[in-house]
Amino acid sequence: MNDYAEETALDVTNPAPRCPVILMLDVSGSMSGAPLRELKEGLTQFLRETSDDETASMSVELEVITFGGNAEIAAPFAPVNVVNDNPPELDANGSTPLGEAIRLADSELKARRRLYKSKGISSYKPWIILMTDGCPNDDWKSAAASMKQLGEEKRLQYIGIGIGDEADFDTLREILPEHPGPVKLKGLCFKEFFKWLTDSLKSVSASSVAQQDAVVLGNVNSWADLAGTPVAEEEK
Amino acid sequence: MNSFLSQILAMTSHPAARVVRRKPQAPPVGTDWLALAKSPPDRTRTVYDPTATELVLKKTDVLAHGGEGVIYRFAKNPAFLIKVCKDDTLRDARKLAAFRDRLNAMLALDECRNATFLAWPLMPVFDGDKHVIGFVMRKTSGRTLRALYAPCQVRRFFPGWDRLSVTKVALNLVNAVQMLARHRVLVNDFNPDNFLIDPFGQVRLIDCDSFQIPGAGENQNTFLTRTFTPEYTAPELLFHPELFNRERTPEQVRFSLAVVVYMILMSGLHPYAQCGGSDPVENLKSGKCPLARRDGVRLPVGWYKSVSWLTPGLKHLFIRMFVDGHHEPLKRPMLSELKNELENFIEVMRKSKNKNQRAILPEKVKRKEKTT
Repeated sequence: MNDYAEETALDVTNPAPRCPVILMLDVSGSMSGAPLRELKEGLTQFLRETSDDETASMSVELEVITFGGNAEIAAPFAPVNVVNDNPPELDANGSTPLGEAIRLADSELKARRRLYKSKGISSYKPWIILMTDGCPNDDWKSAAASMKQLGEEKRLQYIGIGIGDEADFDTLREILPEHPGPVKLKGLCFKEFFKWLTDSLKSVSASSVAQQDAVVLGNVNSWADLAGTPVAEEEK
Repeated sequence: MNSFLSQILAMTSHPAARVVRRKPQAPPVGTDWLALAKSPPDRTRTVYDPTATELVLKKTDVLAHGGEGVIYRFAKNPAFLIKVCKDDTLRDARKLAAFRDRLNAMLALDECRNATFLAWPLMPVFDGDKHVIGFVMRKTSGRTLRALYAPCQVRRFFPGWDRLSVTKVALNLVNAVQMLARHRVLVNDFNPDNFLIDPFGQVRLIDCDSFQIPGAGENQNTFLTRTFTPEYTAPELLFHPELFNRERTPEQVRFSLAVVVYMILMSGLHPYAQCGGSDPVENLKSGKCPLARRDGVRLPVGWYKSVSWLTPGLKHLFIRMFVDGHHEPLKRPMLSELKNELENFIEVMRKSKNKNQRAILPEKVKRKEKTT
């Protein structure tokens, strides 16, 4: 076997800068039925389309963390095409341990970045996508600070999406950095969101690491319910 | 409300006073989302071909937004695309005239127009006032050159390909650039997204309006473009950006092409890449190249194994290009030399029975051949 080939989950023979992406997906009991079905279809489409792009598939490394009853790694960090070949199983049940999921994402992200550094691989700003339809039922406050801080310092692209009318936007506002803040998903437009995410990651991975902040992201009208996103408490 | 009235109201308990002091209504979401939700401009457009036939381009036909224009699918004939200038060019008569002159110079180059590996302009299209606003070009398809920039990518997008296959692609690219150079057309932007590869290893060049084009008449100036991708750009241009206002030189093109060829042969490793090195552009500027074998350059993982199987002639050519030619453009080898060395390398791979000679990732370092 080649001593420098794919001996770890990180392919060191790929010279492209990496873009670590963590999807934190709420699979609590309330997501069962149509929401979970649409989420799965959106995720499948995202994996397929991102893998098929020569540029994005070299850079995007994905981890999927689910929280429903427990927070767990449904798909560990791997190139997006590897996750596409072995997509995670998503089943809805249990409560919403968001704090546990955030703690897990934080530690996984740190470990991945340490690995990049040790192998001399440059990387883009990480992307964290948090999707939830409820409010957390565990201690999320202590877990949220680290990634929120990274988001405030613009060292992390942290996107929080509330699904349906029961999503707790006040808590999301405390978890997420002020910019861009949480936004409500239009209906069950998961596919439209994941299409936007694919396009965004294609644009980022086609840019140089130094110019990633200059990338203009695509229009969000197809999936973001701006008018339906509840107003912050202090602004009511 | 004038400021005097505001002050009076602020001192009273009049209901309007509360309105004055109240914070403006905040939008429901952050301004970041609002900015991303702005409706894109409507790209529906009607253009006319040289026979004044109307061609309706719908916004759903938009395929891509290039640097200089919007590219549409051509509903009537899927083998062709139509590129229309961006709005800022359309609004500016001077820019539009420059575009027309440049397009005419490109249309005058018959051999380029007939070359099927180029997305070259084939005929102009006009607006209702008979101004040239775009052109028709061949539709090309394939995987971008980035598909060769990592072994895992080659396996996925071109199953069964080895180093011989990718070297043929590199040779095809050199031939394409050489053919253009014969007509004094220089490729300015060696962005790998501008080169498409089909399953047979043929290379197609897109974004041809970023090329440097010779003037059509004897007194016409060369048509320049400032387009470039730093990782593939000759160092003198990066150090002296004012040079972008002048004609690019063949030496600069040779350097950029050699970077791409090296990266094709080395599975995406940049010629100035170092283990633990910084940004490729900074490495390129510094001129520290692993081929120079100087102290202080940490070899990238697997570099020595891959380099050892290149022919001595090819290695020497890369040294002349990236080490000797880094600061001295006149020392950069000619395109014909690069072509000869690639042909020689292909021949060596064809004849060799050692599987490492053709492997994308050789397992061993090639031992020096004994000389008697």
